[in-house]
Amino acid sequence: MVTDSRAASSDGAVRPVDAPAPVKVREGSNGKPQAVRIGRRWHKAVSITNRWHLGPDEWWTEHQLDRLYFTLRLEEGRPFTVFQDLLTSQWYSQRA
Amino acid sequence: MTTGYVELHCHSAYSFQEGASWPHELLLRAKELGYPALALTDHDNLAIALDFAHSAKSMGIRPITGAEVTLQGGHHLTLLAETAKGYANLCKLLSYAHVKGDRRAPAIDPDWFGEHGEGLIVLTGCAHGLVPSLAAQGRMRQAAATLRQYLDWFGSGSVFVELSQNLAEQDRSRNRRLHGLARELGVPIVATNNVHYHVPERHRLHDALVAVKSLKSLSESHRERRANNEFYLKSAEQMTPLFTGAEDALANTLRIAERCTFDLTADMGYQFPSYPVPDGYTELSCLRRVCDEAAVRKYGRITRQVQERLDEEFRRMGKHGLAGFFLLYYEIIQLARQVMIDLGHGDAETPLEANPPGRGRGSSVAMLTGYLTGISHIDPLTYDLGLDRFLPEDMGAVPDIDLDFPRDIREELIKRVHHRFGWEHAALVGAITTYQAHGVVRALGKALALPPDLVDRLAKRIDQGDARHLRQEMEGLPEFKHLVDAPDWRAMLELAPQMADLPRGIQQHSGGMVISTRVLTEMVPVMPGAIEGRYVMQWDKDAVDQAGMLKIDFLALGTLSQMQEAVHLIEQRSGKALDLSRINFEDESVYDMLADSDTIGVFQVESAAQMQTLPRLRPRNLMDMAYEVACVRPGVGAIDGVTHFIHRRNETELVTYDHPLEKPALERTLGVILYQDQVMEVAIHVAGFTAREGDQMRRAFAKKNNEGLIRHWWERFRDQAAARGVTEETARKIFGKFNGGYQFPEAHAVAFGVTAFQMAWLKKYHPLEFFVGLLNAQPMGFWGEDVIRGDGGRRGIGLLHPHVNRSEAKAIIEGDAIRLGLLSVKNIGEETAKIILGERQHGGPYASLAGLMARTKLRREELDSLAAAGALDCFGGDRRAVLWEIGLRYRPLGGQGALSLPSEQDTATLPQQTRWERMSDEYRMMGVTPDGHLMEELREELGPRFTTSSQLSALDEGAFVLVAGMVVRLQHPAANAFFVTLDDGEGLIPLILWPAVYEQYRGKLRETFVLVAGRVSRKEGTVNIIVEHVGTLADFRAKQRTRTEGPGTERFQQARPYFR
Repeated sequence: MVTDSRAASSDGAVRPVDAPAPVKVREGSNGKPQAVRIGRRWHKAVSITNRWHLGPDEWWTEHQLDRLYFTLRLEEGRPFTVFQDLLTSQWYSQRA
Repeated sequence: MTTGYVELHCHSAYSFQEGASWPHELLLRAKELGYPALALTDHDNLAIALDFAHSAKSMGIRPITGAEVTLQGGHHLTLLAETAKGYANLCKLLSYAHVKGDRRAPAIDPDWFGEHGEGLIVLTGCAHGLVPSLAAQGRMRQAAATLRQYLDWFGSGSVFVELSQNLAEQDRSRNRRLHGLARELGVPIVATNNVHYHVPERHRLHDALVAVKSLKSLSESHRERRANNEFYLKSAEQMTPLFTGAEDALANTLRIAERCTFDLTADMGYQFPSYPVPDGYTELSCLRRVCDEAAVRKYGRITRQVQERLDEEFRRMGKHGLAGFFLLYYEIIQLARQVMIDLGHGDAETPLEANPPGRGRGSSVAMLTGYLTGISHIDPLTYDLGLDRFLPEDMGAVPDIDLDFPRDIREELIKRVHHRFGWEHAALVGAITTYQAHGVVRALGKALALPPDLVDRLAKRIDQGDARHLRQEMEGLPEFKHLVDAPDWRAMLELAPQMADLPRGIQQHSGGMVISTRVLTEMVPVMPGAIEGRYVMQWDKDAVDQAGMLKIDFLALGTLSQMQEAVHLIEQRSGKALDLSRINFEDESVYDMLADSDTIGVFQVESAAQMQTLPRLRPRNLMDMAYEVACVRPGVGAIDGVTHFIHRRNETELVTYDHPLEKPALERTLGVILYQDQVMEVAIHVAGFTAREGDQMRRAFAKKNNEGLIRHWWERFRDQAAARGVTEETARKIFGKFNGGYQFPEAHAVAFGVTAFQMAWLKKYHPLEFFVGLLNAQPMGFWGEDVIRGDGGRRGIGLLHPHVNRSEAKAIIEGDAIRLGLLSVKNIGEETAKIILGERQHGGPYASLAGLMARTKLRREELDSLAAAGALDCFGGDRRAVLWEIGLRYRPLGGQGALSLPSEQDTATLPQQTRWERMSDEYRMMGVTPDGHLMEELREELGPRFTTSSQLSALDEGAFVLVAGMVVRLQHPAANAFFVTLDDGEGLIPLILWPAVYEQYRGKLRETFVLVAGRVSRKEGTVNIIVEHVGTLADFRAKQRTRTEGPGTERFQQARPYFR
């Protein structure tokens, strides 16, 4: 599971760079991301340039991790990496 | 659309910490997925390839034999055997990888592919392959050059660019580049999933194994472990979307599978050894001449009986093509004889068959040819031993020849056989080591970073246990019970059952060797053994059996070392030669000694179980000795054969048969199946089986998961017996006597019975030499040194402490006593002993501790051990003072050496060691207390209520007793009860614990000293104690302090003051 990064920042703790942040994702019928919401706007993904699976890891601890990553090319041309937490089905972006 | 898929890159647990599924699990899953074929490509070995091939075929899956090999530089490459030539090359490459490189880190020099590339199909490997790594780094020019080199070596049709897509972050970009490279060079592509387990759930065990292999915890081994759980057997439907745009890669898996027609179960090309013979001879006539000449020396002439027996043996050997094998064997025996002479255990004048260097065991002892060529020491004509078990007319399985040697002869012989035939023709059989309960706990404990001391304690406590039932094991241990539900231990409890018995590596089998006329390394990979000069096959004995290879077992038998030394000492002391084959085998007093169970240290008849049987069976001749050693075997025990045999022998039970047809098979053993051979004979006489069928049926019982097989044999037995007029009910009764428990072949029992008698004779007439030999052959046999000391002591043989000025490395005779050797002391190894002895020989006896230290420069630990064992008593003073002086004088290595300066001014006044302290130290250092038994020190404290072993025989059946002693043995044979033996300093006390009692007290039985309350059980001359309560010394002492009485039954009250 992914630790709630907002909760950590509200404590005043230092927020690690590149910590996962929840993101809204519109999924296609095959479960793959089609669009992501950045700020107030939805950005369409024109292609998926990579897909990879990380985990299950840390399964021997209380903080198991299992993620499916996607590198998307957004319509404006920039790459954007998101992952789905396979334990909760929640989406996160890997940006700070 | 799916195009079908076959996995061509698949690891089983035999990749050793790099695969987490058993081959049969992979096959079952492959079957479910509808694979027509499956390749097994374990890392750098073919250890399970043959078994995999057989299993796959039996399931209708075509096996593909291959390996993922490591190249110099550490890159991987996947090789598959397309043809028999390819398989031979694979074996050669793997052999060279181990022999020419580092045994522990095998690596192939790619230049070898030029000569050994034919017949192999090459896939460029997983992400760790050279071509894929170069591609991943973007070094496409080098990747292309390497690929061209492969094409050159293996041929353009035999190289495939391997695309593995396990959804790791780099897979997609690497595969894109590899695909481009393949197109550019016109090389076909192939998909693999680099399988490491059969289902995704097994990834946890795999993660743990990788952590174990890297000697790190799971948390520390992210770099070594794989990114995810995608490395499992996938269906064509799962693979298809991963290879969109590269569909060829999937289709090619099927094409390659079809091309790999090599069948390891049929095409290996092994033949029985042939042997070069002089002109004018055939192998048979050459061997016959050897036998005839030996027969004249043995019997004076070739009698009709000898002639007829040899004719029959030669007819069968001729029929089965075994003469070359026997000639080869004869040469090995001659090599062994030369070793014996070189080691000073024999002379060149005595003919081979008169003083054979080893002793046959097993069914081969039935061969007169063996007796005459020195393979065995038993004349099969004397004991009327039949040929059918070893060499049946319709031989199905390959005969095994087992030969026992004294340890030193065996060590040297193995080297000389390697030297004589070369490692490419002669190698030791391998053995697969596996994860046992304690190993599982330790390995997982480290991987999961559990508290090391807790893990260590648990590992020790469940040493005899089963990791499959770790939860139950822990629940039974009060100290660990609470952990079964602790979150930290959850993974341990989940994974331990999966890890139980998993293979962990290949090592050398106890002594099996295969010598092959055809180059062995073309049939199986061979690697250097852990001991220099030895070479080990990657196949274990089961694979060697499956392959139908002739195996020769060179076994080290401690007893023969003991016998060799005893005979040598007797000859030295008496000045007369002793030939143990000419002693009086009818000697009544030796049999009396055996019947009294006075057999500690006597080969085969010293175990607690044998001690119980000897007074009941009371052997009086060598045939009885064969019965004696044969009857205490699981296969006989399973049908209560011991009891029936003894009762029938003592005429308290009638000799009966379940059907008269059994009589020819069982008459000689009073209607009871004692020997392996008789299972076969019963099948022959009752159901008309051939000898081969009978033997196959017998072997079926010993196999695992054999229900189907047994049903098959039962139906045949029933039907064929019915044709001979045996009813189904009777047939069932007879068939019910066959079982999978081990039994001796008759010839083996005779061979061992003779050796047992010879050892008993030595004990009776030359006890001093017998005990020296016994101590020097340790560890061996059933009892520890302290029990042996006690037994010698009861014969008046004293044991003297090791002594730096008198001891040799091993035990020696000094007057009427035995002087322990320096090697009996913990921490003193051969090298240290050599230093002490060499310096003593060179510079004379050591005059003082200071002198010893200055001259030998022994390490502190070694000096302390010698002092604690009493080896420095000669320098005077109490041992505690000696230890103090060592501390004063000792300077660690590299610093200034010990100075011979006076040390009196620094000597402290220390309290003298008590006898108990001294003896405890000795026991810790040597496992033996030369001056007496520790129990002697406790007897006064325990008081007169405790019965001693020497008083037991006077007690009545059912009498209540209290006994105390050291636990020297704990056994749990197949039967219900647990058998524990106590040594109370006066002798041994056999205890019987029923399971419930054992469960209650198992923790206490691990203590050194225990106190026991129970009832006397007397049966046919034996005395046992049926245990009711067990207590420890601490319990007793605590009780002595408080002395509170408790309520309860009378029996409970009797015992309670001592144990509760």
